[in-house]
Amino acid sequence: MTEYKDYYEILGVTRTATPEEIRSAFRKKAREYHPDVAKDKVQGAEKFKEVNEAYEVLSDPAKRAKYDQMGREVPGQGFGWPSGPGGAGAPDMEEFHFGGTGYSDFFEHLFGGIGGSGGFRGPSGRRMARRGSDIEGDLMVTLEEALRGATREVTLQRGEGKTETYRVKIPSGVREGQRIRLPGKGESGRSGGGSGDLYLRVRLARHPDLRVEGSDLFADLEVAPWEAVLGASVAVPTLEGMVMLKVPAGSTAGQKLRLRGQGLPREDGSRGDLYALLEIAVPPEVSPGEKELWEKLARESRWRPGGRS
Amino acid sequence: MRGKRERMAVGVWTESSRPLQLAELAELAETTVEAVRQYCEMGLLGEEGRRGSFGEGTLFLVRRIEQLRVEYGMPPPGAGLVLDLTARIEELEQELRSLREAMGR
Repeated sequence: MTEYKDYYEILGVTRTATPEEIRSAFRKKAREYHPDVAKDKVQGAEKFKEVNEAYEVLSDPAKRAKYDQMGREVPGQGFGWPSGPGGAGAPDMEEFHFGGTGYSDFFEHLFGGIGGSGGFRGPSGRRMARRGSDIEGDLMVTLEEALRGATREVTLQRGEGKTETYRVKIPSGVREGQRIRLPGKGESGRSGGGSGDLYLRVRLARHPDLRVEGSDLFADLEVAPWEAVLGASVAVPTLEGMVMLKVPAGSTAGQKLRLRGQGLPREDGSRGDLYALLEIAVPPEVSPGEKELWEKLARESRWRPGGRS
Repeated sequence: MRGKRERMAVGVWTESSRPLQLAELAELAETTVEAVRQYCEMGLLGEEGRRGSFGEGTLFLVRRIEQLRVEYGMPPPGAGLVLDLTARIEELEQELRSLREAMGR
């Protein structure tokens, strides 16, 4: 039976949480469970994916509304639940359940469909020899897996309760939306026809500190005003750990500092870049001594932003 | 006036990825060489249809066109339109996701 997932509880936020609160909770939890830092790697990886799934639903207003509307019903038992991939409404279609893709059965029930898990499958039941339909599912891939490549075990439970396990090779440099084809692992053929294929559509898991644009990565980098003025060496997160980045003297907010070759692999085998986006953070509180120094600076400096007098 | 949108290649990977010739593509997609030729002439297979050497992405497209044609009785140009729109939805979903990420920082 599909287990209900309380995405709010997973992220540790209330049901009325704002998008900012949800994002902040996601980053905190994702850092805690990130496979590179979690003490228990296996459990960490599972929790990281669960947190990602929760964030994927709660950060998307349409998905969140659908999830909220469904309430705490259990898929397949409550009123208004959509059928699983290839489920009710098409009695001649076989039902499939994926495991090991990074997405729960619950997510597949709620958001599966064309373009999602179980996507392109048509009515069958023709008597002539016919190849089985292709099956599509989503596969959550971490950025680290996209960088180094990985092998994952994905299970596929077919209608009659038979579960098959496949070792899926995730190539290094895999991109969002790319499909991995497992020939002959789709729906069984009819009357002597061959089996269809299994396509797993890659969905890149969100990283707590890095965003993806093509093969480039972006990280926000907060620096103190004096670090921006005087220059500094600041730690920046990369997929291979923290590296020290030299912030040149006179840097401004919004400036992009490039870490060459620290992005995701490109098709030609080279790697994209990582850009640190500078933000100048201001201390939330200042001590009397610090305030005195700021006041001194305000008196001494003749510079006014935007050339104002 | 807006021109016809060039079909985007569908990124598909298998362990045995290699270029496919016309006959092999037709066999894997369970259709005829003639049908694939027709899809190429109709521009349904994009750039690869003009080159005559095909990748996994084209196999994916041909199988989808065949599925829509055989199972839903859709003519190939209609199937091409459905696939174009599906690909466009996927692109927009990705763009939306990426913009949400950038805005939420």
